[in-house]
Amino acid sequence: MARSFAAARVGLGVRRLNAIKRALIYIIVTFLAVVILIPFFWMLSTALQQEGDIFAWPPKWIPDPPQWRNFADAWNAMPFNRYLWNTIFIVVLGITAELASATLVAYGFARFRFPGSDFIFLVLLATMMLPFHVTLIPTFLIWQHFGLVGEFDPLVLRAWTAWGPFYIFLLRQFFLTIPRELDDAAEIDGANTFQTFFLIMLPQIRPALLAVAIFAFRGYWNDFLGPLIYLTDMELYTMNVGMYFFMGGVNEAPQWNYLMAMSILIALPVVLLFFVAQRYFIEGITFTGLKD
Amino acid sequence: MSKRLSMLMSVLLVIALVLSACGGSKNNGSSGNGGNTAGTDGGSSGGNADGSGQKVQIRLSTWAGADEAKELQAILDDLNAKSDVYEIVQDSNPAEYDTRIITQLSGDSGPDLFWVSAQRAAQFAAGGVMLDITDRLANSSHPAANTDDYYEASFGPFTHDGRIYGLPWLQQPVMLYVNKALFDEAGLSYPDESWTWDDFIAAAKKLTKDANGKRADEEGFDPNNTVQWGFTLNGWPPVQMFIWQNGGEVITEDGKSPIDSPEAMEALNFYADLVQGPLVPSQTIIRDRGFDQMFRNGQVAMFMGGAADDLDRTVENVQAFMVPAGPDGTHVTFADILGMGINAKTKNPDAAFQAFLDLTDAIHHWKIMPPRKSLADYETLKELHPDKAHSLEAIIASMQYGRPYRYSEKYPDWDNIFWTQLMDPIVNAGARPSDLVPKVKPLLEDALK
Repeated sequence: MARSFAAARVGLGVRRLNAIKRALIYIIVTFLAVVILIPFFWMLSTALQQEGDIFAWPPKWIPDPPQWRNFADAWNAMPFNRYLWNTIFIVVLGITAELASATLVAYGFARFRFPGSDFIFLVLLATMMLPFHVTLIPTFLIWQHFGLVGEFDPLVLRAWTAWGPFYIFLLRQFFLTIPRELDDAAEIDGANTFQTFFLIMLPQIRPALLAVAIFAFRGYWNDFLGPLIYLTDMELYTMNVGMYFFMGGVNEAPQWNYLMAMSILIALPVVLLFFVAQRYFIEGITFTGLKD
Repeated sequence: MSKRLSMLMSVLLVIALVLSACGGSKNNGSSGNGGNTAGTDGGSSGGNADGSGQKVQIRLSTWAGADEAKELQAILDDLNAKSDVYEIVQDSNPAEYDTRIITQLSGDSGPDLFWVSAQRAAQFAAGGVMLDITDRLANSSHPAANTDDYYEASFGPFTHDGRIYGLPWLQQPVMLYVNKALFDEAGLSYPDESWTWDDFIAAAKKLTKDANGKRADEEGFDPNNTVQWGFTLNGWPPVQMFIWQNGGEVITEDGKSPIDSPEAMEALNFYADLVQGPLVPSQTIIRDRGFDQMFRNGQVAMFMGGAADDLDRTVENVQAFMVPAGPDGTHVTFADILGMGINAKTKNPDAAFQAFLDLTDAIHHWKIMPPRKSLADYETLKELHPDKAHSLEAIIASMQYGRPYRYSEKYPDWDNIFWTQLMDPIVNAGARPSDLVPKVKPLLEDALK
């Protein structure tokens, strides 16, 4: 009797401890969330400010009155309809190319052993460490050699060369989890390598394909330096490059409210995508231990 | 066997994919091997001589922002309509202009014309990136080709070994923007040409006020409770300007950096006293409230900015005056210089040069301040820029005193040391010039070797 009473008290103590622990965690998480959300809030607040109020002192956190028309004005200040269409064009073609090429290469690395395959894979991974700026000019010269600078081609075609080591790595890890018995069974049933690849393997890694598609979407949607360097016709600009017109220039003050309004519009699809497809983002990270 | 075969197959497939992708799009580019001409390059240079040729497309890269790009497009439309030689196509973006232009120029597909800052111009001229236009200018009767008409200072960055590689389209002297309402309130008369450092400091003291209304030259002024400052500095305006005004130099022609000369030291101390003293807001306050923003909303009474700044157009009671002269009355002001160059690799040098001159001239009639003496005329400029009319006389008077940095190929390294080792500690960490100068001088001179 006394013992069980004591046990109950201990249980209560543990529970209370757990509650405190949880409360503490919530407090920390809430605090961090606020820290992270403040810039977003500031972005929204700036987007809705009148031009003169942005740097008002003391700061006006809540725009009064909110200038909802900033969004429309910013959109119409430059040909953003055209820029949106350009961006979508690049994103769609880019994702397609990325998926098609990366899966093939990843499949190769996961299933075929050939002399030096480990070494080649290592080299592939090592290219992840090359900063974009190092390869910028050599790559540019290659595309120029093909006469394709100034077109969308360099932005889209490059994906056909399976240039994303991260995607290949991610997909290869997924392929490795599929038991070889499946391949063997398919082979016994008379499937050739491509049938095995398309009909057996690809459906198995659908979550990984989605993860890659999402990462690729984010990558192409946010890509800035690529379009900036390769596109030389203002008609072909993407949203990100177009948005920079609001940065002003020598003696032209930046239009912060327009800049922030466009930033919100551009960030929106990615944020929405994250909420919808959170699981796949996380999956990509936990599987590889890498963040793209 | 099937494994080996399938491996081979997949390799082939990948190659086929890559090749077909490359090949498929080639036809919308142009000829394959390096000879990349942008599709519509109808005639070659001067191909319009027979009168029937297509206009030559001339690509122009600029850093123009949204509004500037629109104004520029209107100018280009006008020029293109008038010309039967060229058709200028604008490619503007203010983002990462240097990265962009350097990448594009490193290949053959760079723009024919491009805007260039003074610093880049000096590098490009030395590096053979820009077309040598010395002889073309000498043979041209175009008003913008008359090199005698330009202010001498504006040509420096575009000249290398006596040859000319570009033309300036803007020389923007630093002006002293003044909030006249605050001057009136303090009972001060506005600055004039006779103003020296002493007059400037005396005025700044009268214009610095604490919460109790006490001014900085009055008994009981509380520097910890300032609500209005006489002046503002955050590394800008550049200390070089004050050193020049005091008769000193930061870079000499033979690559020395005599920043330890008495003249330079005096100017550095003048700058340090200002930035660390009560007449200028602390750097924290400046960062929080915005550098020019504090001037715009009347918390700062005097501000130094480029002649083209909008402060006198958009803020009430603001007018630009000449910056104060040095203690012995020496007038110098820092001048920002911007210009345009022709790509040395352009396929159409003749058409590009014609477009270059027409556009340079058009920009001279667009921006404040054109670097040409013949355009530095009050009536002409007033018509072009009615909203800056009240500042124009001072701006015109400042032109002859404008002076850019002594740019060279190695200048960026020098500049980096100058700001990080000398000015940043003075402005942001309260360091004194006398402690830093002996250490920094040899570093600066090394950078120029």
